[in-house]
Amino acid sequence: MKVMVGSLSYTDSEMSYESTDESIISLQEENLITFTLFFKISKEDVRGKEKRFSISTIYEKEKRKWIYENASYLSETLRNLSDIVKMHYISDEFTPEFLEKLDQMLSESIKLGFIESPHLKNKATITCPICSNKNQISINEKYSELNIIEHKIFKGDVCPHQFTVYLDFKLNTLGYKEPEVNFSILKEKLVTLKTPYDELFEVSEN
Amino acid sequence: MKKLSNKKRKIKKIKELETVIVPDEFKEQFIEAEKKVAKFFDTLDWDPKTGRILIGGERYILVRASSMRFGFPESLVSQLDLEGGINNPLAVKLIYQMAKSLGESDAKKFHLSMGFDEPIDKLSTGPIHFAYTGWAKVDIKPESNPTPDENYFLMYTHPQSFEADSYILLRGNTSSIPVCIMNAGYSSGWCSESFGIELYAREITCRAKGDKECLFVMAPIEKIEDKVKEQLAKLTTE
Repeated sequence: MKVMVGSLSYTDSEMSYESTDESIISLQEENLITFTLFFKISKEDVRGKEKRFSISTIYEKEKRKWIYENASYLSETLRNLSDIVKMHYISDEFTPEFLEKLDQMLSESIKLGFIESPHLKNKATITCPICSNKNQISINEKYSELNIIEHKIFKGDVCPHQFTVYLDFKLNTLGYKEPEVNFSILKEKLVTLKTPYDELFEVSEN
Repeated sequence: MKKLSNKKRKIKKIKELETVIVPDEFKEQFIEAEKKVAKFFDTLDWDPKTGRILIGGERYILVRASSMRFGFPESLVSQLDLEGGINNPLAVKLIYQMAKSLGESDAKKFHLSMGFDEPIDKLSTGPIHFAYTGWAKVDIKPESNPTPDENYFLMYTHPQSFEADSYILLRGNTSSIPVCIMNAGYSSGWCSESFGIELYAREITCRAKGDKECLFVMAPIEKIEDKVKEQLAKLTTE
């Protein structure tokens, strides 16, 4: 994968609104496919008062299906990168500090699996700790290698039970949060339990 | 009456810890504790003719581990119609509390019998007593900080936990949750009684769910969930 950052000026500020967002572009001859984010930065001293930027991630064409499957995370990652670009863009040339920061962010993103790894998928297979039913759940929390994800599973997501799961950054289940238990339910159930001592208790109560 | 004391053990002078693994700074303390606990269990009288097992003059019973941990709870949850079987949170809590009470009660009696006053004396005999009674061997990790206050933290594994062994024998390492709930409960009960503070233990990895070891953390109740998350996060970076 390669990453390109480009920029251009508008001739008319009204054009800017038409071309935001991201796009998947095939480069047929090169046998490549790109995922590109377009964004703008306001700048008073240029024509159209805005500059138009793009960040492209470039892949071998065989990764086409994977790109579509993970488009939402690619989009989020590139938007984070675009925030860095916005913060550091001063003139037509990017400062060395910016380039260093961009390099750092890209390497972290790749290391954390945001860009290249199959762990990019935001779906986790969750097993209910009570009934062991399984289901695939979308995880939307932002996460990194250093933190665990605490994700609440609601009734109906996996099974009729509600619980909180701890996941690692690869979305593997690490454990479960201790559930709150209401012992009054147990008390009600215990009353219904039949034992040979029931008669003795009835006599005592009378 | 047939006396089954282990004469070899009586004669042997303990130079190295045999029943527990601890960080070096605790070794001396635990060697002393091991001698005391060994002396206590040397009084074992096993007399099937009268149907009694006595240790230190007290009645003990032998129960098949799997019956205690799985047979009994499974029957109970079935009769109470609790869904999810032994993984039902009510059942889990009940088993934990039962084991915690056993740990507290055993510790109280043991400390009284042995005349212990110091918290560290009381605590150090716990893992050794645990091994002698067949629950598991204990391996206390260097990250531990067993102080009798809110900073108390214990990290330990139970190699050969009777619960993990029993589960694996029954069903393999297929559990979706850690199964050594009685191990956690009993050890937290013993330590709570020893230090006079309310402690809570959770198992975070378990052989019965395919992990390499049964790893526990113990801390005051208000800190336990954070400690669990902290250790789980550390495991992901190892």
